[in-house]
Amino acid sequence: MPNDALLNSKIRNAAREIAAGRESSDRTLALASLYDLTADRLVRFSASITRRQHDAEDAVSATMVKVASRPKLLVAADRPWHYLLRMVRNESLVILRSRSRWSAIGTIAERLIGRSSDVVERDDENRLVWDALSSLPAPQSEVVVLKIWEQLTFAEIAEVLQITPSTAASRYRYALEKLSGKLAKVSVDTRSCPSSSSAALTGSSR
Amino acid sequence: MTIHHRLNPSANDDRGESAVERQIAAQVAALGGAITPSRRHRDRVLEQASDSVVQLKGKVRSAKVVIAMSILLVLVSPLIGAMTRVKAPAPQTAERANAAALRHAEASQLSFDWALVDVFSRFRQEKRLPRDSS
Repeated sequence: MPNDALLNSKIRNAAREIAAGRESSDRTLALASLYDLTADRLVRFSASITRRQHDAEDAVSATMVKVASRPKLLVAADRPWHYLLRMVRNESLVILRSRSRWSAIGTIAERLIGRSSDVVERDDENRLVWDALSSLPAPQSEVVVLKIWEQLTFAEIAEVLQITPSTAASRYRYALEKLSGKLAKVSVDTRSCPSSSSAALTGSSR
Repeated sequence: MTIHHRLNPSANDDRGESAVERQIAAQVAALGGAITPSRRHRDRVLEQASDSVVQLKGKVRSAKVVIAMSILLVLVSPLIGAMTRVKAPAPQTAERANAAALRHAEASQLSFDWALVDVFSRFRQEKRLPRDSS
């Protein structure tokens, strides 16, 4: 994919600039350009794993800090964009593991400080799609996100997730079947009772 | 066409997608555009990265100083040892002992034999002193 090749070369150049930066300000400037190139996409990919906005942002922050400390890893990577996706995925999984230990305390603390963990606003029209996507098993939603948002081929998805291309393809197909079932049900519910559709979806999927 | 017939991870991944699947994909794609990082996230990331680079540089500098000091210590310690080593008195020869006994006998009005005893006693004491002081 030519766009992918362009993105990879831009990321590699940014990583080279980070590595070459002698002063702290040079490095920060180069990191800012890497952030602008990738952060939006990395955050949404991470959000599909962690299912929380601030956890996704933390995962991307941790990844960027690692890149700033060791930019040569990214320079040496065969496909820097895929390498970044893998880094973010690993950070997200680390956050998920630590969250399960502290989830109860975390939830109470979030409510106390009024910090929202919603990825999509409650009144957003995409909320229904987000709820359907988050109700999928994590391995399936990852594939859907990489396929649709990142427009990777199954071979590339397989490389990022370290699975076989046929596994990636089958997960994608099953996920789409489930999504179509869930979204069709929601659209029927919306037509019959518009106000309670979101609650019905959330209740049925969890 | 069942789901299993459509599993084909070959070059054209989109082959065989139904209209419903395309619609779902379009909905999910629209959702992707709605998820963005918060406004302060960029500043926070850059600040964290900058701090971590400064910390890393500090750690590297400390490690370099420790290594340099260790190498310096290894190189300099034999020199310090050589400089601070206490020299043991040279062994007394018979001629020097005789000369010293003669001088002592004349100065103290002693017989040569007692002067020789004194000289050897003093010599023994001198030999003991450095060991005792250490």
